[in-house]
Amino acid sequence: MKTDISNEQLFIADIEALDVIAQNVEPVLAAMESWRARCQSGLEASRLCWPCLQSHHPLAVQADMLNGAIDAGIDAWARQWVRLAPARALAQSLDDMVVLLVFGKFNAGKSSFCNLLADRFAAAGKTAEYFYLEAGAIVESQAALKEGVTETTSRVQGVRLAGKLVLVDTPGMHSVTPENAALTQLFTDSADAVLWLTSSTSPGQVQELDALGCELHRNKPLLPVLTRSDVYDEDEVDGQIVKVLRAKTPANRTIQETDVTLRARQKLEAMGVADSLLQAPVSVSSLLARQQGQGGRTLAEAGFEHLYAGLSAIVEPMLAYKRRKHAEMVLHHLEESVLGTLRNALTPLIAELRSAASVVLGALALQRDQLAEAVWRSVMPQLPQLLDSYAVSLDRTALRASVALAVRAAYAQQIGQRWADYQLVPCALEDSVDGLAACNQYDALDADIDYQALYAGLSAAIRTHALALGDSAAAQAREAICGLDLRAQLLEQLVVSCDAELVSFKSALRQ
Amino acid sequence: MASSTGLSATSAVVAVLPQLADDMARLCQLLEHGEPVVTVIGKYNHGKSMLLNVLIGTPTFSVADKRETVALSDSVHDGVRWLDAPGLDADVDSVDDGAAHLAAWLNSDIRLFVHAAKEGELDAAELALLHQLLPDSARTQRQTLFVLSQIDQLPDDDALSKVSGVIDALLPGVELHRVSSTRHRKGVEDVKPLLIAHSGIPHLRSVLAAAVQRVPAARAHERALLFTGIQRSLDDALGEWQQSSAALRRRQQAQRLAFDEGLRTTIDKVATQIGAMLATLGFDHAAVPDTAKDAYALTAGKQERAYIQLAYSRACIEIDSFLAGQGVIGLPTAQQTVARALNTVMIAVMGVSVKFRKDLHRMFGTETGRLRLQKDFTHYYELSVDRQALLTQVGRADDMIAAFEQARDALQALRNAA
Repeated sequence: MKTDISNEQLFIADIEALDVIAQNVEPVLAAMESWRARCQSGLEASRLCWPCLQSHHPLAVQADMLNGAIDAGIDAWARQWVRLAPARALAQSLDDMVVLLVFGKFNAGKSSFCNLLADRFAAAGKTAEYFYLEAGAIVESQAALKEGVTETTSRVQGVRLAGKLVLVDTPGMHSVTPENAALTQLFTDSADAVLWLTSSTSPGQVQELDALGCELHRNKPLLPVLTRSDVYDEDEVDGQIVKVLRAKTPANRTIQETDVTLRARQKLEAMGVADSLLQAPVSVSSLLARQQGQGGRTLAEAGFEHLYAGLSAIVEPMLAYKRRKHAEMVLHHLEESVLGTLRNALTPLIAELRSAASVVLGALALQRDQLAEAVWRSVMPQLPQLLDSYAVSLDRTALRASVALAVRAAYAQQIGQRWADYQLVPCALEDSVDGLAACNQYDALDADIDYQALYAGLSAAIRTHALALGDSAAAQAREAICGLDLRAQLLEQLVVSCDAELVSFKSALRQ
Repeated sequence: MASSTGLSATSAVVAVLPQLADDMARLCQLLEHGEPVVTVIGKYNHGKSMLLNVLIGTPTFSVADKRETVALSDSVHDGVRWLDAPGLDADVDSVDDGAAHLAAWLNSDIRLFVHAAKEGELDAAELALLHQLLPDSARTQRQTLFVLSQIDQLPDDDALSKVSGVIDALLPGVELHRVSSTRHRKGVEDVKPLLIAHSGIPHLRSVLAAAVQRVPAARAHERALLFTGIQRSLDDALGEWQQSSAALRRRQQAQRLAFDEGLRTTIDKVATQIGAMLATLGFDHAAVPDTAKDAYALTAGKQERAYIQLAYSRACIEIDSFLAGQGVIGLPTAQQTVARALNTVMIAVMGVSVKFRKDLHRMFGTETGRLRLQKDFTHYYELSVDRQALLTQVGRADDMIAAFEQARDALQALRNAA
């Protein structure tokens, strides 16, 4: 029977014996680099162009923005990789340690939790070195971690245990001062697993996990710790209220832990994170452990034996993560800044462009009809005057020319008003002004020309031209928009295929 | 159950201004004169249900050390409806929050905002809600009481005053009611007056009783506020529709004036030309019918008929082209022949028969004839696509105005019935 060896002893021994042997990830790295190069060249080849659209056409403006986003994205990848250099350096300096991110709200009791663990290591004769972040630098400290009174006064702080286990106490990125943001990010990046501390008063407010989205997507194990799992029992004794602190009952703890598991699982699913990352929650009371002298039984009652078991359980996945960490960090970069750019910056723009294109396409038929109608309405009232001139000159060529001229002028005016954002080539007016041809039979009788037939013939010709011009304008516009949409679609497919490829690297790396 | 006046006013108002649905629902609730409603609001597991049980004096609402209340539940005791809202932020999909919102905004006269003392400072979600509730209380006179719950779970009085201080600083001027339901229950069960005295429950009860006394006055105030606000929203929107209707009518009239003027000018021009032509003719040869032997001869009658026909053609062309420019004769569609499209209106007004001198005189030479032409062409103008579209727009604006007026009347009826 090993009952005399506590989980605490086992865990501290595990940590001391920690030996990280990196796994050979070179082939994965090479494959990922070639993926990145393919993404880049694919994107560069997929830049959009928009012949026949003026640069102020709303679709051209959107397409131009998309091109800008492609360029900015490719630029940002390189810069982001350089910016991550300190993170890689820090990760290297922590190569033989594991980093636990202790995450939770200001009232979750993070500092007292870390301090208690530090005291336990110290009690076992191991080192406990405190530090905190100030003005963007790590400051070593003799004093234990300080509890932030409010969300805004919390600081990023931590403790190194036995030179192997680093606990980083962070209130979450949103409440970190700007000068400490970069360094906090470094620690978060370097973390190998996350402890999510949540107060037993209102346990498992899963929306807090949103702030951990990045870490969870990086496949880091998540251990929920229900803190302050204690109750004051009160009684009135001799005119005084007497308080006794005790642990919440095992039954009560089970209810809370089950509830937190259920909701955390739903939340992870909603976030698109594998719920296998979620470890079984444990309940602890640092206050109880401390008040009652940290004896073995007290520690067990305060939940710490369960906690150590939980911690030991994540040492293995943590180590597995650690061994491939070099490749993971490259993968995170590719996922977050490369694929992230594609997904977050390009995909919405592409979708917007394509939906705008389909709206414009849908409106073209009406626009075409309006164009033809407007040409018709503008030219028809000019006919009597043109016919009057013809009656004097009897110059059929001149009549034909002036009708064609009126049609062109009306078209030009309409194009200027309603089609100004297209570069259109007006279609050739064929000799269909040979509505006149229909009237040729009357040539013989110059003396009594049938003006009404001539008028009808010219009207037909104007109609034909108005429709032809409308059709031609609409066809050119349609071709331009469809071409743009096709290129956008190709870009969309490129993003999807890049995404799928990276997912396959990821599963190969993590299997 | 809302009254039928309430229901019809609600459907009339919501039909035109859907965003007033909440206001109308609240108004109907106020008009039912039900018991004052006390709602508990706050994060889950902060002891809301237990507080209600202690205030009521019976274990009515279920209690557990986790998210428990997931739907609204209520209970009437001593003339007060007690409403237990699910906790804020309890669910991933925020369904609970929706129900909590309903409870806080639609159903409550008095809100007990509950915050567990052990949690210390208020978090962002709680602060955001309070910053909505407190101004609403000032506006509607619905009262919000801040309850600092589970004070028995703090180690000592120092800790309690520390937490109170932090919250006081965040919410200056808001009275904190420090309570412990557990302390009170134990005090009652074990007959320990000190526990009861230090539970804060007796004090909270008396504060609540006074608040309940103020509910009728607050409801009257809120009712008036809602009536006025809804009325104003209706009036504003109605005003906008009236303006847009007037603008459409002005456009209708301006188009019509321009058409009338253009058509008159065209008819006058044509009439002058035909008048001049008729004046040059002497004996009415055209009226003399040709005999059989004239079939292949060029008679004076034939020549004159050709002459008249020419002038008439010119007149038709003049009018037709004017009508085309005005959209009366739209661009012929693919199915129509050009000739048929052109002819429809012209033939309907001018007829198909061959025109003689007397016909032309009757049509163009007399005031009556010209007025008939003006009237008949105008009839077809009003039937044109553009004019019909404009007419539809005017109709739609008028329908909206009628709907708004109906909503206004329905609201007035509701007010009179109240």
